[in-house]
Amino acid sequence: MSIRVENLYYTYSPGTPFERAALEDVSLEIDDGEFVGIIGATGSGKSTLIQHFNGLLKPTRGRVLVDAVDIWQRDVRLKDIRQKVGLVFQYPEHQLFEETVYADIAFGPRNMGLDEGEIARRVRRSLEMVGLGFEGVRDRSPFELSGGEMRRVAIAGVLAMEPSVLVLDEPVSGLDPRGRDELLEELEMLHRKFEYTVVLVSHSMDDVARLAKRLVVLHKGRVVADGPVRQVFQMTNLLAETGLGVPQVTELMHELARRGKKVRTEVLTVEEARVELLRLLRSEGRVR
Amino acid sequence: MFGNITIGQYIPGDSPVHRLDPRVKLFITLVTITVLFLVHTMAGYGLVLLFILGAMLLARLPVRFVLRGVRPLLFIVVLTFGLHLFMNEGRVLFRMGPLVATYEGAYRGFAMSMRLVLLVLATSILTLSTSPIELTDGIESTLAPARLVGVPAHELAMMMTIALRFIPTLLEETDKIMKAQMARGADFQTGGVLQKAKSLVPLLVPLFVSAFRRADELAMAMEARCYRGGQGRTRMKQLRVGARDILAAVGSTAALVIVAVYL
Repeated sequence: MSIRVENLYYTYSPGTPFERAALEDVSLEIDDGEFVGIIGATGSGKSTLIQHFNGLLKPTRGRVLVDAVDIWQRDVRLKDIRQKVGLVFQYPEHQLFEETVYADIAFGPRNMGLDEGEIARRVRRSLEMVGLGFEGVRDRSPFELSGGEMRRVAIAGVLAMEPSVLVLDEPVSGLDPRGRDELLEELEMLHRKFEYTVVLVSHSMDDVARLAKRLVVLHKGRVVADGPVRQVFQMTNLLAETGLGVPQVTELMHELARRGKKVRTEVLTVEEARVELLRLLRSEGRVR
Repeated sequence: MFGNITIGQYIPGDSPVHRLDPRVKLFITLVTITVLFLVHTMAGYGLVLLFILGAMLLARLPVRFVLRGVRPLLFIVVLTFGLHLFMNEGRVLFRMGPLVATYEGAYRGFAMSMRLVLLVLATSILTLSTSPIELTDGIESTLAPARLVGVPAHELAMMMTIALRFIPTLLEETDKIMKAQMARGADFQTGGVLQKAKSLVPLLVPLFVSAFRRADELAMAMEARCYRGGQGRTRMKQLRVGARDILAAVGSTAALVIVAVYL
């Protein structure tokens, strides 16, 4: 399942004094099985872009193709596209509305017209995917859960549609460090174990460095970089210009290199940094 | 999705109309509306239209944008015109089955439609050229004398400020929740009346939850800044009526009254 965006333009409130171009000439392709991070400063067009992936926004110009089919052709049912491309909005817990967790997660499958048995199976499965026990929460009100649990229930509500691509807009914002670690781990598991294609929108460089394989950098509605994570994080000047940075450990390595230490700078995680720093210390004879 | 709503929107600017005292603008708008209901000749409507267009140009408002605000009204205008056209007695213009259109009806229908459109135009110039804060300050100050008879002028104005302030926020929120539910396969467009009403539940429940949350946070933030009503509260921007304001008020009122009396 692939998503392809070709020369996409999107303008908010066209023809009014509030007209604003949000996306300009954006082209990119997301292949089956990828884990792509989309990064960019506030207002760079990230959220606008991902709303094109499942047809919530109609491009002002350009095309969006899901599985090589233009989704704005007349005979395409957008409902099908939205089932295939699951979109989790920022603060998804704000969309919860049902009386019980079960009913809320069942909302998506029910809209797809599935029978009760299949709905029950999907609710159970998606709750387990996000690390919540089915029996423990099914009859509780979503409004009495903790913030982290609410967010999981909301994500489960999208997973229950069994999409093949999962697009998440800032899924860990506002969570405490532990909730954030757990959720990121679950995303990684969804990608590895259940083979979801994942698109992660974030402005935390550390999060995308940890999970994504490929990075797309948006700046003022344009794609300014697109490539493997390590390669993109080498472009420190470009990232600084766009108001972003690099992961903290990468920053550290760059600083060491600036001070004349012979270290690799394409380090992304704390674990990699540990290995690299030990190697450095050993070569300097400070540890054995 | 809600990008076309112009009600309550404000276009920042620095035109002579923007700089007028909000109370003066309120006053002129009220006079315009009154005159609109007094005139009854084509020439009268024409002159009021001219006056409104003049104000629009003077405020440097994009004419097409202002006219777009009239669009939601189109249905009512057409209905009004149709009703007058067929419901009046007089010389026959044409017949459509059992319906008889008359010259008198066409004339009255046109006048009523004109009245509606001009009403909306006049008030939208006021809101488009006056920031919500200025507007409510103006209303508060106008209502101030009524405090003596127990009208809570400040509280009313504060409520209006807050309501106006939250219109765009709530619209944005509605748009976001709608999209989130559409991403889960919700359908807000098709189905019968009952089906449509039911499909609003997934939208309204989150919207109310978030509105209450916002209200709570706002109350907290206001209290944290020691807000305790209008008693003894001073302002950073004092409203002051200058020569320009008096000129505008007297000039427009005189012009409009002449139109009302003679046409």
